[in-house]
Amino acid sequence: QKLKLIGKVIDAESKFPIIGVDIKVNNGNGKTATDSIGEFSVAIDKGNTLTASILGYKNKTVAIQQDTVTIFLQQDPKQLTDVVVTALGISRQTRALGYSVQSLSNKQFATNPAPNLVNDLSGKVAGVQITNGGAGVGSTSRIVIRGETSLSGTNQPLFVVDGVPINNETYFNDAIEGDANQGTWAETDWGNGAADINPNDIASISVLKGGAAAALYGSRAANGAIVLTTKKGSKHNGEVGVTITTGTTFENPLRLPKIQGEYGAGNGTADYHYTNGTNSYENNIGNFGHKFDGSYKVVQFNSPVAGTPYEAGDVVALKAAGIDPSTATPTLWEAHPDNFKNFLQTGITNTNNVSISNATDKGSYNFSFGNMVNKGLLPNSDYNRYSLAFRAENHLTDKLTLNVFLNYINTFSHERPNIGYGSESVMYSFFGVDGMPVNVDLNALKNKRWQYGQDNRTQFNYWANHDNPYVTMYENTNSFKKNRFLGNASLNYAFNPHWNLMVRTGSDFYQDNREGKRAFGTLRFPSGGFRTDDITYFENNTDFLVTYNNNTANKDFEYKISAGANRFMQNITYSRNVANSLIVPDLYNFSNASTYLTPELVKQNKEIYSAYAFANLSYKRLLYLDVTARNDWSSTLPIDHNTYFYPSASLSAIISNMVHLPSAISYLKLRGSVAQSGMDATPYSIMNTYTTNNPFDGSPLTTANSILANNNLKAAKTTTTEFGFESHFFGNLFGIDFTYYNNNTVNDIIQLPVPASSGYSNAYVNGGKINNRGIEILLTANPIRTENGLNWTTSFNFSHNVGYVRSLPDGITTYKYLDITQYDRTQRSIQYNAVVGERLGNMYGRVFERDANGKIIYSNGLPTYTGEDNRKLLGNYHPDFILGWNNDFTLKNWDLGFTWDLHKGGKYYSYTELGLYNDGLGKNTLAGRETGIIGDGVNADGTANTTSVSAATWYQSGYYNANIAEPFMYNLTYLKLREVNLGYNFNHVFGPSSNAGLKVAFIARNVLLFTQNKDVDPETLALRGSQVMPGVEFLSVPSSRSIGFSATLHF
Amino acid sequence: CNKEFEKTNTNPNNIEVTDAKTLFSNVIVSEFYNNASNAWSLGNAYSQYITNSYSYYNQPLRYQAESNSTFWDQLYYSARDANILYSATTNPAVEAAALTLRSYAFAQLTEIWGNIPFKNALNGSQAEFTSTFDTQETVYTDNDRGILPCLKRADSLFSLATTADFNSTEFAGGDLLFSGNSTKWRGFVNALRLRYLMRVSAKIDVSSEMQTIASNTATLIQDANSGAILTLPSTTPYNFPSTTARSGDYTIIFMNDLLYNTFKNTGDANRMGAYFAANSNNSTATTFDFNYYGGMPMVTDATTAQASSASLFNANFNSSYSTYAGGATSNSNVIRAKIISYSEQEFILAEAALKGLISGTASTYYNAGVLGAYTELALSGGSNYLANANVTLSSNSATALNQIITQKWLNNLGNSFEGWIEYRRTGYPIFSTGGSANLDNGKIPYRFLYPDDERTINSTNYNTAVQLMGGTDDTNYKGWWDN
Repeated sequence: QKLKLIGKVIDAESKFPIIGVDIKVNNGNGKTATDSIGEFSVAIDKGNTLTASILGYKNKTVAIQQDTVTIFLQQDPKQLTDVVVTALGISRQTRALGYSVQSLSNKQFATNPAPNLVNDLSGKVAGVQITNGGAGVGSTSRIVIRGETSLSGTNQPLFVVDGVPINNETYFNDAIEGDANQGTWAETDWGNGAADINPNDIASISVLKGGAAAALYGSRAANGAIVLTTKKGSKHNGEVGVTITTGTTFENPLRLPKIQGEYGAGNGTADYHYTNGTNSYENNIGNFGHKFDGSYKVVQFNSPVAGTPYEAGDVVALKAAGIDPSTATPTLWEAHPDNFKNFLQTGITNTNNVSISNATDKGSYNFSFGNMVNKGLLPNSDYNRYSLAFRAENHLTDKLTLNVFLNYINTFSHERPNIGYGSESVMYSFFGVDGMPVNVDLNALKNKRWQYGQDNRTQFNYWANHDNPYVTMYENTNSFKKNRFLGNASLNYAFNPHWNLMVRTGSDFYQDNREGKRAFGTLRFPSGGFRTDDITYFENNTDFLVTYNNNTANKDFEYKISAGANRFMQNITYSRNVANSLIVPDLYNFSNASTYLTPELVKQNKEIYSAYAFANLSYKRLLYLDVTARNDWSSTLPIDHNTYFYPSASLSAIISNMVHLPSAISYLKLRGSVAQSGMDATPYSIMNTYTTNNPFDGSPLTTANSILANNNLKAAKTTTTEFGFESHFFGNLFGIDFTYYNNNTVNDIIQLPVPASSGYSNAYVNGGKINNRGIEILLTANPIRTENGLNWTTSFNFSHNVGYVRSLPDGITTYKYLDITQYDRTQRSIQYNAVVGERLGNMYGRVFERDANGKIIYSNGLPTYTGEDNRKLLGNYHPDFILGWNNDFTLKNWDLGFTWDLHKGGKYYSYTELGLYNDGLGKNTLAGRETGIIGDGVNADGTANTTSVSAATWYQSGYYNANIAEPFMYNLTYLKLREVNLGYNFNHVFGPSSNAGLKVAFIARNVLLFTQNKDVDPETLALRGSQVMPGVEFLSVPSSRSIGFSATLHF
Repeated sequence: CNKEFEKTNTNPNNIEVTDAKTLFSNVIVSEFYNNASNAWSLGNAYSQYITNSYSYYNQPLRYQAESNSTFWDQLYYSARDANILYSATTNPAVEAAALTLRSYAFAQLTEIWGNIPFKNALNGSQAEFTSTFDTQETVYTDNDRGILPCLKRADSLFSLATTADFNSTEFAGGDLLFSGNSTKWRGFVNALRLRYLMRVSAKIDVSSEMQTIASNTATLIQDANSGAILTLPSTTPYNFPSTTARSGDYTIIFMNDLLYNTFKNTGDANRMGAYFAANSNNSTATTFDFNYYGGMPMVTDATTAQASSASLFNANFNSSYSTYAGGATSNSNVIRAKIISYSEQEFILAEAALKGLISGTASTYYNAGVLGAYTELALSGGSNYLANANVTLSSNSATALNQIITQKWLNNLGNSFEGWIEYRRTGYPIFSTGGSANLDNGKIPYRFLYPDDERTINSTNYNTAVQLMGGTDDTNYKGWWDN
């Protein structure tokens, strides 16, 4: 009986389809090869056998009894091969790739997944730099691959799920701040989009680093691509497979500021005492006052007022009773150096996941439900994620296959803390300049949020410039609810062994509804406030791909040619409503607004059409050449030049199979590639407009948009050249993968800050030229592999990248692309300057004036410093190199893994340190309290400085003057024990006949930190004015050390 | 797909064509509001009306060299919108108002920064981002864009405009200042002409032009309620900036010694009480005494004694400020946004008469100015005040000039940097150098630094401008009329 056999060849381990597998009918002359999705068809007699073979796998021979078959091939370690998912979701053997791609399988992050998927790449992938957000779980993690290629924009890679892009942006609320303090809404970090993805749904993560890897994704992958492949159903002996995982970790601060406990508030000239909280001068809040001597007593905010139920801080009640609060009974002056530590709570992160999967010859499915519930370090803060995912594959007919992935994600939080500068942020309340003095009794604030008889009206606080931190966390909340659907469906039709057509569509849709509530009587909101920010995001990508494969032709020369097209559309709507004062407390609705509402609605639409073609050529599977070409048409560019073309070519040569090498070298591959990618503009940057200002007492106001559009914009282009080799020695004992790349961006579209004398603030121009180059080294070794089962694999990821500004538009030699300021105090800002010939990431600020010998020049005992028009280089926020070290030990049922992560070099400015020094809060400020301080330096005439100044002067307006950036610069170098996992596998848990397994593991993240700064973790981002930037630690919530357990049961 | 692209890339958020009415409103609001706001943050300290007691915040207020770039940007944006308005309209009244407001912005720029990008400034929309710097003299006198010729042209355009022009939607509809009142606009423009003519009077002969303006009394500001003063709403974002300040930010701003002594020496209890509260030592006082109030000298950080004896602004200035002091009555006239008042106009005329630039009696103008200043704040007792020996205009011309400028200074509290600018011109009232607290080595600076973007992006022109100052961007460099 002749069968028309349809078969599929799958990697037994990764479950990826294998392309180009030779299929030979054993008793006869039929032969074929698998197509781009690993399938083949061949005529064969029932009962006959066929053999599947491909380099890198063990051959397999199967007997055919029916008309479909799935063949699982085992990798042959001797032949050294890997399959990775590349652009458009296509699986390729790494040996065929002329560029570097690094991939993580689910195994490498499943036991101990980071709450934010992006962080799973930390220390594990060369060329990738990840920086954590400063607001704890749920904050944005920034990922940059091979350096920043553009001076504008976020330089974030494209995230792709099953070949279809998804959104990874963080859309910030507009922070609203101005001269008027009422209605100052500080920044909140809402988290990056990819953090919504449940890591349990992901089978593998491929990091496409270079231009060649990303060439087929076009503009949006100019900074690389992170390609996620979802889990497919797999066969479990014909039965439904179930996997249940659960994990709980406990989070504690990894590093806390070290607070002195010897001196309380006072500024050296004025001692602290509480008068009445409103028109007093309790701004003398730096800790340069009375020593805690155990006997000194003074009126404090929580001192009782004799004969009344009131305390001194119950200002409203006292005023009504005609009592002056400063007549309260003085209470003991006591130190509370652990206030912040006591303010924090132990964070708890609980994750659960259930997945059910099955596979038959007709198809497969995988369904999962997962959740993560996080209680943050800051009281009342939380972050929650629930997700449902469904992936199915069905062979509808012999030739037609349907693949579907659907994912619903619900994330929400009751309170995302405000972070950064300003009294809206509790971190500022504790450690900003004028942070909570050591003498304040936090418990008094915890136990009493409101003044006597003033519930929800007037807070109980210790000083007029800071809110009670419990009011901030529990009453002034920023909540959100986000509902996200993402999914894709593809149909694949194999006309015959040569021709294949794939049609695919995928969308990412979400609504993010945020609410900000502000209680009456808080500093920025004397009569409360309420705002809503709603974001609707929609993106669709629809594409097709036609492939011709010569797989039955001459074996020496194989080729595959594909052509396709994509339509991308994106609609974003941001809508905001703000009431900056309310009629009555505790009703958060716009019906309760007592002022004009100033709604804002911003829409952003974009389309890109693309056509592309590529060819994969191979000669005897020794020499591989890939060429690609893509043309994009973007709606954001002027019609005359809205089209841009970019090609790529890459070559891979398996030298070890071509020439005779010493036997120690088991494998050697050389590779090289040149690729271009284009970048379009931001929507609406080609036509000048007028914008509307807030109405004045009901009258509309319009003004010219201060950002000048440009109807001559061209696409920016990045050209990447990459060379590398991959080699293995003594079989699999030791391997090295080396890459050098050089990456040039020209015509970078920048929002150039133009002098205000032009009438405008910024102008879109082409013209930046940026160069990034670097090396990546991946060392892998398997030093121990013993008969008794002890196995140790270890790997080092090394990356070094350096970026330079080569030119700027119009002969400009320097410009400031970012300012990190404290509100409008630009005289103190840290400026990020692009300077022709200098490194990207250079930060400028005011420094000490020094003489020719580098000695600080003093005047009247105080250091002198440069003017605001004379900022100097403070350092560069990029590390010199990043080194990750991963280890896996297995012994029988045990496995142990740990990852170290070293960032070497680079500088950052620590705002927390400014607060600690300037306020006399930090332990380091005890020096010179009683004696005064003589600064080490010289006077203008060259003589040594001998003038002593008081500690208060030294820390507040001397060496640690907030105008000077230099004393607050720290080395970014840090070494972190990023992950530790220790697991034990129980087999056959439901009896000897069952295949059920249980793994329990001890898991820990961010276990140890070694760095110069003893008060804060340098691995945090500044969040300022909707910009997330490394280089400045801006009052971040402490990063956490998390320790816990996880269990996985599968049957 | 180009059509589809055009549709997709059509900005759905902002208008692409201008609307003169709303643009006109915006120029008015931005110039007046920014005036009040910058006076509050910096100008009042520069003019020595106030002292900020706290070193973390007060360094720029102690004459530390800084750029004041926010105000620079705001002024150029206002000038830009006024410029667009000027080209976008055919209504002579709107043209005149646009010229007036543009000239005012340029005047502020040159008087606060000296030589400025001027003749080819505001050309960003023609992709011309860098501009040469012109001398202060050019900014005042250039025939095309100069302050004096343009204000003169504005006056004649107002004189040509018809009733229909004034009543048009564009003009009357957009005029948040005077609701289309032609007399008040002519008064505004002519008062400004007098101010800027007086400013340059030591450099060029301004007497005939001043005389012409002074003689045509119908085209001047008619009374204290007709000045260029904008009432601000009580709600954000255009409320007077201090009214919603955090009380902690607010309670570090004290009356300056110089102002206190001036009030005390002239017996100005009414005006002092309208602006300030009794000090905290006397917060429960129910009667008035000058000794219950106090000033603070320029300080790094105030001592306990200094802080408790100096006065804060009173409750008019802060809605959440709860004072235990009695006596402060609510007077919202002290928190309006002002460009030029009737009173200032009269003081300029008094000085011009005193110096013989115009005919007439100085004391007539001076008395009108003093009384006008009280009326402006709706205070009674102006005549009594005028009778104070230190207020009545002296027959000694040097003393008289001091009195005129000092009274003008009192009237301009909260008006941008006027007090400081006039001090630079006249030396009155005599400012305190501030001792070691002064971060300009005991000097009163003449200007601010140029902003970053001029130094970096406009570096060629910036360097030329700096060469003119002797090689450094120097806050003690004197401009044309300062010299």
